[in-house]
Amino acid sequence: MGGWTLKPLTGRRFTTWLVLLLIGLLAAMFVGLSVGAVSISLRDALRGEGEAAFILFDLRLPRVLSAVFVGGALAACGAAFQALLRNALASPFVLGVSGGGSLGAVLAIVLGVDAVAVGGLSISTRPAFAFSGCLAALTLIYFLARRRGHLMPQTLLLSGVVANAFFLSILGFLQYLATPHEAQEILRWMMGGLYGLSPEGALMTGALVLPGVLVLTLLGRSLNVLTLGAETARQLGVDVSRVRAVVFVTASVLTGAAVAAAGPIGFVGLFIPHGVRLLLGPDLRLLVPASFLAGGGFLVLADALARVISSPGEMPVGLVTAAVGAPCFILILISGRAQAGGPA
Amino acid sequence: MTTSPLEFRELAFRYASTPIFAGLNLRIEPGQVTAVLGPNGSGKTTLLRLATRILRPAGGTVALAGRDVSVLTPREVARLVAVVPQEEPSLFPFSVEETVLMARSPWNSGFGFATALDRKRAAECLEVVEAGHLLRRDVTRLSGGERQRVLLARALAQDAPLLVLDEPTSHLDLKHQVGILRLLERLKAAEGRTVVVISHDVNLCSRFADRMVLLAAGAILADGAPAEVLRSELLSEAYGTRISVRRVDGLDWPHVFPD
Repeated sequence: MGGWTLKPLTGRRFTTWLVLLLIGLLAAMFVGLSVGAVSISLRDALRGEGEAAFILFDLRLPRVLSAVFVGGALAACGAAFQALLRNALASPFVLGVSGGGSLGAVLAIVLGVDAVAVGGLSISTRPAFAFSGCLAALTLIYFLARRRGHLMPQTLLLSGVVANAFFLSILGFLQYLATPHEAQEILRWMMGGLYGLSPEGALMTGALVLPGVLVLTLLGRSLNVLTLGAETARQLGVDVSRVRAVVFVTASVLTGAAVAAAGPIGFVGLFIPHGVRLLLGPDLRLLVPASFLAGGGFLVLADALARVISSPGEMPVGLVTAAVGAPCFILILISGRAQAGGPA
Repeated sequence: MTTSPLEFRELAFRYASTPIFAGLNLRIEPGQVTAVLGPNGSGKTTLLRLATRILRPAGGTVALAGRDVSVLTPREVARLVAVVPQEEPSLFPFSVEETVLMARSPWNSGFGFATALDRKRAAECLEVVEAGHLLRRDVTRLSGGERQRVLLARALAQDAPLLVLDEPTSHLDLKHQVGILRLLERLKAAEGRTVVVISHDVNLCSRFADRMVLLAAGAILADGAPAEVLRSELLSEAYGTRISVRRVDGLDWPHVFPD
């Protein structure tokens, strides 16, 4: 592609790409709704008949919607974190928020409060514990990384990495104390998977993720300028401190919502924004929402694949995303290097 | 008296416990090219950061177009002063045009898709710095000189009355060094822009500046026309090494030679 670049983003190109990606996402969702351990007749299900309807609306739809929100949130956050930290290798998990979430989930498992009975129904408390862990980590890292009231990317990265290491060491200790059954459960959670998701849980994830992605998209213009460096961004009129704080908190809450719903699913947040940037250019106004749609579609398909491979079992989707994501990422790196003619 | 585009009054500033300025007064005159000279660590870049409100003074005031910068928003500051940074590493493959369009950010609101007018302005500014052919190029793949001209075009597209250049010639070959400074003269004449150049290139500034301000250890050692400032004893004192100033036959601006 020899130094070739795209024309500046226009409203028309913005809309065209988002519509195309939305169509792709809907197609992926259709695939996700069609496959599963039990084959059902979609016609019966849509007529609201018995078991088929239950499988479609109570099992598969929450799962597919969760995959859209989780994959989309991770990819959109990846794009935002890469711009915020001015580092193309940043992922939503680099800042330690996910470590806090994992610790929360593991606490729920080993304390035996993983589920509470409410009126005869067993409700999983794990997402709530994981999300609380993410928020606690977010608060800790935010205040660690502040210098004279400003968030600095370098200290942010350092605080995040250190906090993550600390959370994982506590987590390791809990794992060491855990019974074999609990340890198995912890291991499974850490791989990241989409199971046991209720329709309410899926809607709650969506209620956190969609406004968050909207906020990050609306900050796209400022994020573009911020990739030029803090001093230049300031001189071009961007309120750097405010934008950094809003992006960090929003992207962290999104990461928290994704981790709470499905555990730390790897690679989606790293290579989807990369691939989308390669295809659509680095403008964050388009990159963030496009990553959301592409990441959502990707996770739906990865989960469908995981269900087909391991049918009738439940293989963690995190294994699929890593298995597909790592080779894809290597391909992107190779083609990216050929394109840039040197190290990025 | 006309309003100065940039004025420092009784400016005080310190980094941690190192005092940089203690009561500095400097008024930039509109429509002039002012060169700020001084040895490393004399406070040149600090002055620039105070002018763009990246740093806040410990005392005194900084005024842009007569307004105290401490009450201006970042966007208002960006409408009054445009900066050409010394260096700016590019990480993401934005095009040259997209990079220049980012200078329209202080004038745009909302989502800020580039208008036809913005794009015309960006193309004009690239033409002015003789970089029109770079429009579609990837900024991460420019040479040092190309990048510097693109950064200058971006600062022009910002349409601020005051233009500050931090070491504008450091990455340029001889032809482009002279080219950039000729261009600044043209801008001054054609658009009435006020230009402040922070530079180590004393000889180039001697040729193009209307006024020179010599900083040393956070104080103004000399301030006036190049012929008044470029004096051997002043420069030797400022830079802490023996420097002589000579006239070169056929050229009517003084030249500086370190001994």
